[in-house]
Formats: sequence, C-alpha cells, structure tokens
Amino acid sequence: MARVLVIVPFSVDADNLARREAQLRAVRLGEGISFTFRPVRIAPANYVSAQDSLLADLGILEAGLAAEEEGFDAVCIDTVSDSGMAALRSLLRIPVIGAGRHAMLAALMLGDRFSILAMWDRWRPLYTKTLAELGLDARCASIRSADLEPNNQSLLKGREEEVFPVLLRTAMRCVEEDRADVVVLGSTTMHEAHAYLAERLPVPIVNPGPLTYRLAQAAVRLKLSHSRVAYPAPVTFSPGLVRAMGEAGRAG
Amino acid sequence: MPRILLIEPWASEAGASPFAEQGDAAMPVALDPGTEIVRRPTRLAAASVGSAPEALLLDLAVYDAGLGAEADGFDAVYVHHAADPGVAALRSALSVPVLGAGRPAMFYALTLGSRFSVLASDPAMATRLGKAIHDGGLKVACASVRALDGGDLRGDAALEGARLSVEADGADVIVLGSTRMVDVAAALSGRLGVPVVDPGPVGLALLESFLALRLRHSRRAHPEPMVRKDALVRALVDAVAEPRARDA
Repeated sequence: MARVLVIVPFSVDADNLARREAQLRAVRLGEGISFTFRPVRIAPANYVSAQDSLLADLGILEAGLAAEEEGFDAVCIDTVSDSGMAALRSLLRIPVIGAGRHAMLAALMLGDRFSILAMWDRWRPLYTKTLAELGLDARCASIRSADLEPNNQSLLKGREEEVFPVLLRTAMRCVEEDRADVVVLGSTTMHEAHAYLAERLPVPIVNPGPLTYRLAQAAVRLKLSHSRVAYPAPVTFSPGLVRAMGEAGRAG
Repeated sequence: MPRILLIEPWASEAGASPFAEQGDAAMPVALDPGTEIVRRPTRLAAASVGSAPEALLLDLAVYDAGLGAEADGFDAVYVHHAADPGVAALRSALSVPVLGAGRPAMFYALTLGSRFSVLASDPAMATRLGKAIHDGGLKVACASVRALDGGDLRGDAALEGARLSVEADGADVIVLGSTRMVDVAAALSGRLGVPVVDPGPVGLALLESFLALRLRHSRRAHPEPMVRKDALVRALVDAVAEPRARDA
C-alpha cells in the first residue's frame, strides 16, 4: 500500500478538511494507495503578499519534513502556489508534487497554450513565479480572475450560484479572446467548480489537486523522484528548530 | 476499464520491441488493474526518423494504425515512440486521448528538475528531437541533446554521455531519447545522481493519469479535419505495405 501525505496549506476544522479531501473523488485512483490530509500549523491568512509566501513556505516545510521517516511514499502540496515545494524537495527523497508546476506542465501535454483561471487578481504573483521558474512564460495565454474574494476555509460552499457563472464567463474569455486551448484552475480551493466548468468549456480544464494525487501514484509506480542536483540537500539544517517553530505557530 | 491502443511504429524490426521477448504481460510500468493494452505495429516501418521524408512516412504509418481506434472501441491511443510520430494527426482525428512518448517525457522532466538533457539513440534521432525541443518552446529548459556513439544502446556508452550531460552541460534530469533504451535506463538508474526519464513507461503512466482525470487533448490546439480521408490513407499504405495482421 502506497501512502501519500497531502499537506493542506491552512489550519482547518474537520468539516473544511473534508471539503479538501473531497478532491479525491474527482480522480480514479483504485486500490493500493491511501491519502492522509494534514493541515499546517504555521499559515498566513491568505496568499497575497511576500510575507504570506514566506509563512506558507515555512508551514508546509514543517508539516512535511518528517514525511519519509513517517513512512510516506510521496507528498502532495495542496496549493497551486507550490509553497514549500523547493524546501521539501531538498530534504526528502520521496516525490514532492506541487500542484502549480505539475498542472502547468500537464496542460502543455494537452494543448499549446494555457490560461490560468483565478478567483481574484491578488493571486497573480503566485503564477508568474512558477512561470518564470519554468521558463514557459510564452506558453501562458493569460491569467484572468473572476474578481471575487476567495474563502480558503469553506471554499465555494453556498456561493455556487454567484461564483460558477462568473468563472465560466471568465474562462470563456481566456479561450475566445486570449486563445488559450487549455485552462488551469488557479487554486485547489476552486475544485468544487471544476465539474461545472468541464461540462461547459470547449477546452480541457485541469483540476490541480486531483492531478497531483494521480501523479503521486504515477511517480511511485515509475520510481521517479525530483533531481538531487536541482534540489541539493542542505549542508546544515535542524529539523528540531523548524519543529519548535511549528509548536509556536499553533498558537498564532 | 480502459482499453488502450499501443502503436509500435518500429515493430517490423526484429526484436526491437521491448515487449517482444517478454510477451504481452510485460508492460514497462505498473498499470491500473483492468487496464487493457492492445499492441498494434504499424504497417509501414521506418528505420530512422532523422530526415523530413522519413519522418513524414512514419507520421503516415502511425496515423494509419490509429485512425480507426475510436471506432474500434479504444478509450485512448499511445504512440510508443520518442519522436511522437503521427500524434498530431491522430489528435486531430480522434476525440479519445492520444499521447506520444516524446514531448510529454520532456515536460515531465521539468516536474523533477529545471534543465534536462536528452540522450538520443543515434544522431538522426538527436536531430529530430532537437527540432521537437525547438518547436515545443523548450529550448530554454534544455541543457543539451547528445547522441550515443554509433547508436550503441548498451549501458556503458550511455553512462559516459549522461555524465557529460550533467557535468559539462548542466542538466539535472536526463531524458532518454528513445523507447528502445530500456537497458540504458536500468544501467543508468542510481549511478548518476539525477533522475532518468524513460519515455516509454512515463508516457504510459501519464496517459493513464489523463484517463483517470477524464482529460484529453484540446480541440482548439488540435482542430478536426473538415473532411476525413480515412479510405485514402488506408489505400496509400495498402499500396506499399506487406500484408500483415493488424493486431499483434
């Protein structure tokens, strides 16, 4: 049985954790693999500034740094920002799958140009960072947002009628005006809109969270993990120090 | 459960198929229980894909082998070749997912590192893959394309090429430039300090992933022909192909 740790980038209660776990239903995984969703202990309120990115990197690192010792076979990071991915890859030999990087690369296996569909424009820097790292700027047709403030706890619950049509209209502009031939959902917190959009859009739309679960399974089967040369191990690093920060983070 | 048509563009070369000696059960990666793979050789075979006319004929051969896949009840088509021959044409004609082993392996390499080198089986393949890298907008992420001397697919020759890719060219991931380098993948594994992407198994795992997520290629990127010419394609290949059973 392969075991995958899914790091949830916010502190959430049981109900809202279940809303995250519901992403598993969007992909056929079969038997022989199990997923453990674990919220972080250190988190920003949302992902709109460099302060937030710093805290997110630290929180996700803390949540995953012992994943290998705990017997996990892979780690998925449940945010398109890929926060903490680079730090965890330096520490872990098991695959560490970031939703953003993998979603953009998967999109390019299905079409030539993709657009990123976000809830609001404050997420734009999350995408431009990954695009710059990949050097694939030219393949991104656009980043468009629905201009609606997201809720990282209850996700889209109770807002379906307000949000879904706006997302569809925005995605259609990506296709018609920007000539995207694939759309990538800009956040795992938008997964509840995926089925609605997939039924109505004339192009494929990538659901980043479920994609990472399936790619974790593929990585385990292929026995492939990230490059040690691209993600060198630290010379000095104290997991205990980060653990202590995690204890402190629970308070704040 | 999904039925996948696996097209082998070089199956007329004796012993060339990595599956040939091991039988149908030996797939290069663990598959979902219930996934059925049907292997089909092309009716035309190309010994090389380095030149434009050879590549063109291989495109036609693969298109001929796969164009009836949807009508035959297949849920997906996998072109088991690192140069992705016929993939674009099949994507235009079919609504089921079609994937090759080439470009997806390069994008997959970028999930594992930041710069990849391609280790091609011979100079002709290196030329073809260099073009695929250029056309795919991947030059910025590609450290080098190296061809193995004299098409020597044994482990030791490959190890030297791979070492140079990492140490001299700055690659942090190696992509093998052929689906026939299974022995090379095994020989390099664990000896380089960087991941080695073997395009055959990686492409198959990605295709299964897309099926599990109900994703297929974009119609906007791959528009349908206004007039299908299936009979013409079949006749063109009939005119030159040796008679052979369609399914292996």
